[in-house]
Amino acid sequence: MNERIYAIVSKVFRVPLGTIHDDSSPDTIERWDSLQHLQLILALEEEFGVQFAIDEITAMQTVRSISAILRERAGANA
Amino acid sequence: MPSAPARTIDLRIGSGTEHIAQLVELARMVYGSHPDVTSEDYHRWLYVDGPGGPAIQVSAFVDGRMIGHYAVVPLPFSDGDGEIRAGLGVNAIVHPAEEGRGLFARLVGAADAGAGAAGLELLYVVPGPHSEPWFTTVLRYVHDGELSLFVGPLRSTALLQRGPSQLRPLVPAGMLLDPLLRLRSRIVNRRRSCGALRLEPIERFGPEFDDLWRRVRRAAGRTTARTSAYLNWRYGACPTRRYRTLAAWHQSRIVAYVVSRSRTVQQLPGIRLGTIVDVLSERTAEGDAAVTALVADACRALREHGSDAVVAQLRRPSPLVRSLHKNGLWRLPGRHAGYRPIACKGRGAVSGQPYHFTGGDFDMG
Repeated sequence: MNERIYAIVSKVFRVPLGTIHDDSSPDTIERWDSLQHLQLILALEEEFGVQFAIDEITAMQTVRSISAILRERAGANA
Repeated sequence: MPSAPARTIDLRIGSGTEHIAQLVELARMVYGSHPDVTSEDYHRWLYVDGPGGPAIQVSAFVDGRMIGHYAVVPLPFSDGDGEIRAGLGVNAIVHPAEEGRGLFARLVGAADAGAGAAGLELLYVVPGPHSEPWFTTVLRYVHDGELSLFVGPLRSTALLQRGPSQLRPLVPAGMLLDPLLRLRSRIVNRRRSCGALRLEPIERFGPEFDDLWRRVRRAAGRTTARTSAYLNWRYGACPTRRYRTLAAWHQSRIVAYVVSRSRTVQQLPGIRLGTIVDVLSERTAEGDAAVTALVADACRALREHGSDAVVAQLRRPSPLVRSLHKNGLWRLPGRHAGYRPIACKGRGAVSGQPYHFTGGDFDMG
């Protein structure tokens, strides 16, 4: 799952895949603004077939938190 | 790289004036010297004094410092058949250092929930280009048309002299055009004064405006209920804006009115812009003639007070477009800086009904 998330982050923010890690966030990626954050959410929803709630969206502060939310979703759907 | 320490964002929902000082400070930091949102009196007027009741305000704080804000202003709304309680979303502000963290969605989501709890049935917004995608995706609003921007020159020479440098060579053309514009204005004004209409400036909206509203509301369809209480608050009591209202009488009744104002726009330095802010009329021959005459008089006054061009925003289709055309205002096609979509959520969103929506219906914050 992490590889898929990293790939999406890399694509949305147009940064090299090798620079993405769990602590990547708006503080470390310059292009991570509100509009790109929305693009990220939409890309993740499409990739993983989910629809995020607002509190999940606002909890997505880092790649780590995105991964945690998606794992929780996957666990809930198991 | 170590993670940033976890922060607690404190979301506070209110309806009074307790956060206005901090809001103004945040607005000043984000918008600079904007005359409205950096005024405490303006926020008190918008949030507390409105005829629909106090605004539902949501503010985000970190360590007691405001980092984001959004509000829903309840407004009396009509869908042609009757009144519905609606709320207009305004003043979305997020500290630049907080962008990209979903705070905007959180603020709007909380405000929408508060608006629902307060009994508001319909929420609408006129978002800018950065927030529109948020509203129409994760916040589940639906796109419900857009405001067209109509533009017309008032003082071509001044406009070309003070506008972009690429237009300077056209200044001689402007010097030829200006007398023609004044002549057309005189012709339009002369046509309206065939004895049938009496144009009068309005300082206060009285019961005659309630009478006009009752006569036109069904044909107007979906729109802010333009009662005298609303109009007096909206155009008579705003502390930071000066409006000019002119009404047209036919025999013993008001058949139309136009509200205008003059302002500068940050994106157009050196240019003074007149705005036809609001307009309402009977759907009669007298009403149609009155609107044309009122817009002509508004343009004349705006020109005399130094406006270089006039703009109006109107959701189409609208019978008022004809009057704008007669006064030299034409729609700017396509998407541009003045493009403003309308998005709604709640009762009857995307109703398919006729709509009367002008710049004055949303440009409050």
